[in-house]
Amino acid sequence: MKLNDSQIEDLYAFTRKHYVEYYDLQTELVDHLANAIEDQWELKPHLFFEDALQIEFKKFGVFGFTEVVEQRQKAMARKYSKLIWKHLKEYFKLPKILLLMSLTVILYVFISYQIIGTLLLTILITALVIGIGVDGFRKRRARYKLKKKERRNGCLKK
Amino acid sequence: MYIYIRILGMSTSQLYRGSLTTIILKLVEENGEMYGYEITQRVKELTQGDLEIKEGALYPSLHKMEAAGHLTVTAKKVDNRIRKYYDITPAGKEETVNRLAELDEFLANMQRIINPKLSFE
Repeated sequence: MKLNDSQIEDLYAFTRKHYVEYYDLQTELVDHLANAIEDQWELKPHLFFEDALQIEFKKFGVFGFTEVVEQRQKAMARKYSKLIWKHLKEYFKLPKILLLMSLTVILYVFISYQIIGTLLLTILITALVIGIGVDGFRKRRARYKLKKKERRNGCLKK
Repeated sequence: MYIYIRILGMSTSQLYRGSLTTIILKLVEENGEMYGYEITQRVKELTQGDLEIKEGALYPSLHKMEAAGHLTVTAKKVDNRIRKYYDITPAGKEETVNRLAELDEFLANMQRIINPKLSFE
């Protein structure tokens, strides 16, 4: 017996309820649970969907999906920092190193003139501070929205 | 914690802990594209149920290998759901060879310690 579409949807909701926010991870876990439930039905065709799901979920251990989510985050962070590092390294190789060097020289020349230099540095530092502030604000807002959404979903479930 | 095995009611998980990556790499290399659940079932089948990979350890391990560039992922629609298949990369093949060589060496050394051949040479 195969799982129907609404049961697949239930599995997605189940992973969300257990704090799996990422769609790719939800998809992977849904497929895993679905396969496992279908295998259980081969042996016990009369088993309820919910009961089969609970049996499978227990196999993930006391912490449920948390370990899987945490490790996934770590793996992705590693992958992304590798990518960033790769791009950064390009600036120290030909041809991009020429760009870096010429920009450094131009900046140095500008800063050497006191008036323009002070002005330029003030602009740069202000832009940097504003940039960091906006970025932090955006991140906080995104996190707040997500939490609100989760809370609402949680209420609906109950 | 990672893989557990029970022989004569005694858990010998510690012995297998370090080998999960090697097991997965070897299986995917031999079988080509595989998905998570298939790997757990294949291991169970090959060891006649003695060795059971825990779900909570399998996926972290797969994701780690993906991030390291040893495995690639493709998603395909199967029945009414999406399935993620893992396949080995050239770097993964190299890693498999290294890990298997290391395992062989480990086994040979253990053999020498546990079962020393006495001779008068």
